[in-house]
This record gives sequence, C-alpha cells and structure tokens, in this order.
Amino acid sequence: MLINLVIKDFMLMKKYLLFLVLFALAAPIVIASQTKDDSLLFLMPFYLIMITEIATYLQVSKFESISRGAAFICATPYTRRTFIEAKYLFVFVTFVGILFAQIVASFLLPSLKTGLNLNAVGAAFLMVSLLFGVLIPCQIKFGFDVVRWIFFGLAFLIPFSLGPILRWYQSLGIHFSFSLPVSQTGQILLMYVFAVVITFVSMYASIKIYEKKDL
Amino acid sequence: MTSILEVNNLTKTYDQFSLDRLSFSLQKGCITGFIGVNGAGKTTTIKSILGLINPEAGSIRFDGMEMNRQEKQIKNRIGFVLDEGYFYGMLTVKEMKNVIAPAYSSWDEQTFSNWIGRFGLNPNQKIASLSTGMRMKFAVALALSHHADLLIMDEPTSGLDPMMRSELMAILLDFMKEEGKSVFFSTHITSDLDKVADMLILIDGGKILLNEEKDTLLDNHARIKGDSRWINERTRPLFLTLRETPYGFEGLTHQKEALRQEMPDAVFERPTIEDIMLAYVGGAEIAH
Repeated sequence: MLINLVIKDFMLMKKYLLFLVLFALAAPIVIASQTKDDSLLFLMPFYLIMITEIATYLQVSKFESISRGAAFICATPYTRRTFIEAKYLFVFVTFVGILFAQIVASFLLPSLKTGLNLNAVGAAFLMVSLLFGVLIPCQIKFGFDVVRWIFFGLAFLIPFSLGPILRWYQSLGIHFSFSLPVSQTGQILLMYVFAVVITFVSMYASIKIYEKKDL
Repeated sequence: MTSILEVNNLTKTYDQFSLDRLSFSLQKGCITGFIGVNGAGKTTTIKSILGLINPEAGSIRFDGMEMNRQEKQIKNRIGFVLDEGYFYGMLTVKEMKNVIAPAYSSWDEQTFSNWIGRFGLNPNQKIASLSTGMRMKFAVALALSHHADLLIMDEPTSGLDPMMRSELMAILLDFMKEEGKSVFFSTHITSDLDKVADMLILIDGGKILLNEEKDTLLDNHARIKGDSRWINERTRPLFLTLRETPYGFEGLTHQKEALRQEMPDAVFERPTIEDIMLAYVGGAEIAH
C-alpha cells in the first residue's frame, strides 16, 4: 500500500521528473569535467543529493498544498499514518534514485567514483535524514508556506554567511579533536545507524502531529 | 432494524461554532438524509466520521467496531463522496484511481470500468479539466467500486443541474437494491430527499433537532392555510411558523389534530421537507 502513495508523489511531479533524472545524470559529469579538484568530486554526491532532494520534495509539497488530495487519501483505508510513512519513503526512494543516477554517471566518467564510497554516501544519508527529519514535522505542523520560506532564507543566507562564520571560527584558534573508540568502519556504520534512528524518530513525531490535524 | 453506524456524544469546538455532544445512529438498509442550512455542522460531522477532523470527545462505531481501533477495516467498508471532490487536479482519472484502488481490499476493477463507461468519463482526462458534475460522478464511481456497505455523501448535489441530480438519485436507489446497504446523505437541497430518503436527521448550530422517519415526520406535520381571524391566543402557540397577511394566514404545525379541532375549515396540506427544516431552524423568529 505504501508504495502506491510514493508512486502518487512521483506522478504529481511527472512533468519535472524527466528533467530531474537528466539533471541527476548530467550534473555530475558537467561539474566533474570542469574541475580537477578531488575534494569537490568527493562532495559531489552530497551536493547533488541535497539539491535534488530539496527541489523534488518542495515540488511535491507545493502540489499537496494546492489540492486537498491528502484529505481524500486519509479518508480511505490508507489512513493518516500510511500517508506520513509514504512521505519518508518518498524521500528515501529519491535518495536511492539520485545515487543510482550518479553510479550510472560514474561509468561514463570514472573520476566520479571518488565520491561514491560508503563514507561519502553515509554522510549524505545522515544529512538528508537530519534535514528532512526536521523539515517534514515542521511542514506538517506549520504548513508548506512556512517551510518554503525557511528554505529560501537558508538558500540566501548560507552563501553569504558561511565564509565569514568559518573565518571567524578559524580566527578563534579553537581545535576540537576527539576520536571515537570504534574503528573507521564502525564510524561509517554509526552514520547510517544515526540516519535511520533520526528518520524513525522524526516519522513518529510527524505521525503524532498529523494525527491531531484537521484536514 | 439494526444500526450500521453509531455516533455518540461527538463534540468539536471551533471559535464560532461547535458540535455539541452529537448522538445519532444510521439504520441498515436505509437512506438517511442529513439536512441543515449552510454552516449547521453537516460537513464537520461527516469529516469526523471519516476521521478527517479530530473531535474533542465522542465515539464512532461501525457495525459493532470502534473507529479508533479498527479504522482500516471500517474504512474498507465505507464509500464516500466529499463536497468539493478533494482530488489531485493534476492527475488523470486513471492515475487517481490507481492511487486509491489499492487501499481497498475488495476493489472491483470491472465495476469501476462499468461506472466510468456509464458516466462517459475519459480515463486519460485530467481531473482539473472535469466539470463539477463529472468530478462528482468520478467520486461516485470510486465510492461504489469496492462493494461498500455504507455510502457517505457530503452535499453531492450542490452545483449539479436537475438532470444530474436526478441521475444521482437513481444511482442511490440502484445501490440500495443490494441487501444491507445504507446511505448517509447530507444536503441543504431538501427536494433531493423527497423521493429517496427513509430517515431524516436535522442539524442546526451543531445540535440535532430532529431524527425521525421521513414519512412519520411528514405525516405529523401539516401546512395550514386559512382566515386570519382564526388566529388567536389559543391557536397561535400551536404553530411552528406562522405568516399572516391581510388575505389570510399560512403556517406549519406539528399539532395537526389540535388545530383541526380549533379551525375545522382550514386547508391542511402535506408539507415538504424544506418546510419542516425551515420551521425548526428559523421557526421561532417567523412565528413571533
């Protein structure tokens, strides 16, 4: 049942789906062909996953906000719980889709494989979990418009504020260094475990918030 | 007769409106009309039954099952038509069906195809481009394609032309031919119920004012016309509504026999459901 609601979300944005698939395939090739910087290649999956996930989710949320289809679905045996679970599954399926597109792209441009390792993918997975783990419950609680403005605000603020903040931090001369009592593999595994835990905690919170909403 | 749905002490409070400990039950094998003026609480009640609104108190039972505990099983047996369609306009008829159908364990694709064919709906047409009437027909097709036992409809006839309203009434009567089926049908266009309703529930200001068999209700009330001189301190309180003109009076009563004795020459007519609804909703103001 859950997968049908995920398919529904993809159908809502079917007009943009082809563009997103092409973007996920072409963007890494275009960016990688214009840079020799390995650190940038390492960040590529993270960057593309975040951009595409946010664009996809906001697009679907916009369609949800202008129709009352969610109420219709919740009046059927799907229930509110399934509706929310499907939103999280949608984010996950999109994540896997973008990753798959980058694996395909890496066959065309082998240098892209630099960023396709368990560490980089785990970091992206953790960031997506954190971002949507906060975003989805907020959206359910405050509505699409509030969340959209938060995103616009972040999109404008980050490029301007990140540099000065980093310079200020470096000027303080503070160095945090600690080592976890687990191996490198264990640390990577922990990232995945944290991501899954965050997702489930967020999903539980979203279900509870949505249960109280009048549709 | 056994009840298919029981609503007990349903309470929901908004800033300027509340459902006040609403209790009623729907009988199996009956079409129950849920009437009231706009803003009376019909949609809030129906949305509460469908789980779209969270009431502060009260319980809903369907065929012995508690809605809070067996929501999926209950919703599997309920078909619904909501007033504004509530569809994703950007999807086609077929795409929307593909989303909804897997939710129901007893979805019948052949039945759905039959309804789509009968209604002349194009499966590849975008829902946003359907007319109000066609959207309602699509909602009916979805509601009737999983062998629901109870069909809940919220203002399905508002915005429809008389032809389409009549067609919908015929569909309801067809649906009721199968044993054990029930319909709960909210409307402020009471003429729709004249032909099809078995029971009537009148709601106003979030309270149930009447809950009776339609024929009993119509039999117990009368529209009376006569000479204004017959209106006096003894007869005036026997009316629910009373309109006096220099040429005579016209009023509605639920004390037919008493008035027949008081004014034997008056004309007694069978009222319409609308007469009764308006009498109870705004009767006090009209009568005095």
